[in-house]
Amino acid sequence: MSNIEPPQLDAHQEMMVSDFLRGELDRQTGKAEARFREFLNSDQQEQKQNYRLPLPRRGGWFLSLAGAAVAACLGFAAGAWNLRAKAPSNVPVQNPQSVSLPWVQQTEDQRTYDGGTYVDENGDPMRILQRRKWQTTRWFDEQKQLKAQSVVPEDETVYVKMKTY
Amino acid sequence: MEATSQQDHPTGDDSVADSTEALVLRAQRKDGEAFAQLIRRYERVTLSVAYGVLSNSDAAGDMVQEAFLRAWQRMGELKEPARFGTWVCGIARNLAIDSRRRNKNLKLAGDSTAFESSALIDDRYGADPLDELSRKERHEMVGRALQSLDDATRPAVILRYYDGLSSREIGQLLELSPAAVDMRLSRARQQLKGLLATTQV
Repeated sequence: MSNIEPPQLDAHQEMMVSDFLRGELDRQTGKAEARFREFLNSDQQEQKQNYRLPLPRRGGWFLSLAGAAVAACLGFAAGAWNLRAKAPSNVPVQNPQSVSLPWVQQTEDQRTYDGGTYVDENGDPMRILQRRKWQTTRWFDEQKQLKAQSVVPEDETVYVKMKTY
Repeated sequence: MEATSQQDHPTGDDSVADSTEALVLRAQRKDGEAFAQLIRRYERVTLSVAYGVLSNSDAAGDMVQEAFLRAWQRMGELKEPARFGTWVCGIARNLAIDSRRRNKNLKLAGDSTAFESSALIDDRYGADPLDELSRKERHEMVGRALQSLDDATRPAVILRYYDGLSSREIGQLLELSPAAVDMRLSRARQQLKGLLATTQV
């Protein structure tokens, strides 16, 4: 305990100092908690977005490229689908790894599904396209009248920037 | 003490379940609610310390917000949970000192317009203009009187008259002995007495 007896301000002076400080500082209280909660929410939001959607961070050019690729693939898929439809269906299919046959045909089919919309960190809306791709390779031996087919599936998710008005 | 009755006690004396130590340990495990409770408990004292350096309430408010965010990000570095108040006040003080150094144009309390707070003019439409003027002058006078105190003394005065803390509690937050706090308060009162005497009606 200190032995110094501090001189006291009188009641009026104490009140003036306290009133002054309340007038200056009371309006600042509560802001730190509000800012912290805001920070906490944005932090959690960011973590969520990073987990779910890492692709938009790669930049707008990637999205444009992806859009062009989707269009090209859809065209290619339509052509491939027609080609596959013409193949005879009554010939038994065998595992291509067990037989050695001359290569005949390789096609790639794609189906694109609408995965809904998403708003990225800059507030730009994007459409999510989920694409399933099948690469089909067919072999055919004319002498033995044998056919073989291999199908390799692949899944992809593409984000296409939408127009805003 | 009037000011402390409005908030949890900032330097201890709380129940075990929501003691500062328990809250700090929870906050170190990234419990946001526990940290929000710590902010409520220590915001006023941190504000007093920052205002003691900056003499500008808006700037002090910003520093306090920043100080708590930094504290949250560095919770793992706090080795003595019971000293959270001292620690966060230290962060706020350092940030305030850096900010003052960087921003030469910061409005100081010596500038008369710095004291035009909303509290000062809240009843301006109903008040007598002479009373209003007198209140304003008194407010500016107190601001200048506080500004005239040295940097080491001002935070102790604000912690006493805004937060209503004892010398021991102020000493804990500012890392000073109670005797050193009393010495500063004594010096400050001497100075304030002279400056504020002229304002009495």
